[in-house]
Amino acid sequence: MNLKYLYKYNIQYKGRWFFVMLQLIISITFINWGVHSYISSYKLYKNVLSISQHNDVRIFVNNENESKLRSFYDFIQDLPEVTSIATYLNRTNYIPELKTDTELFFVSNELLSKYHLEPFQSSTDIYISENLNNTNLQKLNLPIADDKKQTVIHREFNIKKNLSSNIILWNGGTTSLQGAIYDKQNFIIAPIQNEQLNGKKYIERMSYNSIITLQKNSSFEQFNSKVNEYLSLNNISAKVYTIEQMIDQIKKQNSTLIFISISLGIILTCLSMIGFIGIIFMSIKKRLTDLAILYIHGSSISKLLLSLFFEFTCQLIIASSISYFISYLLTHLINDTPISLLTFGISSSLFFIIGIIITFFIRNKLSRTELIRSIKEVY
Amino acid sequence: MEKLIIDSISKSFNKREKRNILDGINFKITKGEMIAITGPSGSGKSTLLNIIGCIDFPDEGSIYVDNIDVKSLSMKEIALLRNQTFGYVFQNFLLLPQYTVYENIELPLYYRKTNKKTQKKDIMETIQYLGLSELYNKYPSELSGGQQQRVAIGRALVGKPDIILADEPTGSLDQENGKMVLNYLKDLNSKGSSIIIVTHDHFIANQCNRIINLVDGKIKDI
Repeated sequence: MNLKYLYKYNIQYKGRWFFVMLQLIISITFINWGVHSYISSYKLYKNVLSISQHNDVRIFVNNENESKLRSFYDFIQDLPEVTSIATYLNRTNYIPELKTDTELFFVSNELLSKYHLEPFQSSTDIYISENLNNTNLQKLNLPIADDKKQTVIHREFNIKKNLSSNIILWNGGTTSLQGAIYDKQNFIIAPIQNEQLNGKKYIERMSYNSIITLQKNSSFEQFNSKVNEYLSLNNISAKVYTIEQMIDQIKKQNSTLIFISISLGIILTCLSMIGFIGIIFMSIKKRLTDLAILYIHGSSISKLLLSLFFEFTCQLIIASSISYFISYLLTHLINDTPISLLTFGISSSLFFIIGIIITFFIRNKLSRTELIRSIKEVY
Repeated sequence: MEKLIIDSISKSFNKREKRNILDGINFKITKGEMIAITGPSGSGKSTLLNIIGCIDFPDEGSIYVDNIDVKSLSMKEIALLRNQTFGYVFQNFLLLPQYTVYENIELPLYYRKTNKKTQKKDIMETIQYLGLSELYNKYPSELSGGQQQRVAIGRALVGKPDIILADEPTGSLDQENGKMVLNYLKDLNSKGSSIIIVTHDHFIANQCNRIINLVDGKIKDI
C-alpha cells in the first residue's frame, strides 16, 4: 500500500504535516464545540420534558411574604383537581442528574396525608421500603458523601412504616440527594428538614420550582380560573403554566442560544470541511509526480487511492484525539459540562464521511491522464 | 519470437477535433532487439512509449506482450506487467526526492513479494554495476545529472525486466554522461533485454538495430 512512501513523504515534509494537523485540530475542535452546544441544548430540553407529566402545572410566584405563600399552597393542595405538589432543587443543576424514571417529592407533614401516610412527628421520622433495615440503610447510603454522617449514620430514626415500593430516604442535603439519585431509586419520599419546613427555604423554593400534578381527568382551565381568582383576591402576583407552555417558554428562552450554537456549528463545519478538502487536494497536487512514479513502477491507481485514504484517516484519528482532549478541557473549564463521547463520535464521523466522499472525488484527480500529464510537466 | 506486437494503435487526446496523436501504428519487437523511435516534437513518440509500457492505453488497436493482449488484463494484472516486464528510464530521471539512491533503485522490487535478502543482493549488484557504491545513501538532490540518470537506469534494470523503455534518456545530460548512459543500455541489450529508446539524437538512433520514424502520429519509415 505504499506505506514506505507515505512515511518518507511525511517525514520529509514535517512542516507541511504539522500545518495540516494544526488545521485539522482547529477545525475538529470547532466542530466539537458546535455539536456539543447543540447536544447540550437538546438534552436540556429533553430533560425538562422527561421530568414532567403532561398533566403537570407550574406556578411561578413573584416575591411575596411567607404567610401569603403558605396560605396559597394550602389553598392549592385542597383543590380537588390537585394530586400532588412537589418541588425540586435548582433546575439546571438538578435535571441532568435525574434519572428519567425517578420521581422526587419533598413532602411536608401536611402533604404526607395525601399519600395516606402518617405525618412526621419529628425530623427523625422516616418511611423506608420494607426490605430495608437500619444496617441496610447505612450500606445504601455509603456512596453518599459529606453529610451522610449527619443525616444517616449518626442519627436515630423512628421507622414509621415500611413501604412496599422502592423508596429511599432523603433528609435534606444536596450531596445526599445526589447520592440517592445515583443509586437509581425510582421513588423518593423526602421529609422536609425542620428549617426548610418551618423556615423560608421550602416556601421560597416552592415559589419558583414547584410542580403541581393535576388529576388525570381534571381541566386545566378550571384549575387555572380557581387559582387566578385566589391570586387576584389575595393580591398575589403569579403566573400559571401548563408543562407544555413551560416547555415552549424554555424553548423560546433558549432558542436564540440554540440558533447561535447551531449556526456557528454549521458555519464552522463548512469552513473546516472546505479547509479539509483544500488540504487533501493540495496534498495530492503537490505530489502528483511522486504518485505517477509509484504508478509507473507497479502501483495501481486503486492502491494509490487507498494509500492516500489511509494517510488522511491516520491524520484524522490523531487530530480528532488531540482536539477531543482540547474540547474536553475547554468545555469543562467554560461551562462545567465536558464534551461527551457522543459529540466526539459525531464530529469525527462527520470528518470521516467527508474523507470517504473526497476519496471518490480525488479518483478523478488521480486519473491516468493526470498522472501522465504530471510526468510530462517535469520535462 | 515476438516479444511485443503493436497492432493498429490509435490515440487521440482531443476526441472532438479527432486529431490523432497516433494513427494506426503497427510493428513488432523481438527479444533482444534495440529500437529507436525518432521523429519531430509532437509526433507522438512519448505517447507511443507510454502505451507500449502500459502507462497509458490506446483508443483503438491492441498491444500484445508475450502474445497476451493487454486489453484482456485487469488493472491489477497490468500493474504487475508494468512492474515485472518493463523498466523505465526518463529524460528527467523521475526519482523520488525523499528516497535515497538505494531506495529509489529498490522501488520496483517493493511491489514484488520476493525474498528480501535476494532483493538486497540484486540492489547491491546493480549499484556496483552502475558505479554508485559510494553514493547509495545519498539523496537525488545531492547527485549530478549523470549520477541521477544512472540511478534511474538502476531502477529500470534491478527487476531484470524483458523490455527497457527509455524516453530521451540522454536529453538532460552532457555528451560524456550521454555516452555513458548509452553504453549501459547497449550492455543491457547485449545481455538479452529488449530496448526501446525515444530520441532526437541521430547518433543514439544509429546505434540501434532499427529506427522507427514517426511523423504526425504515423510511421513514416522503419
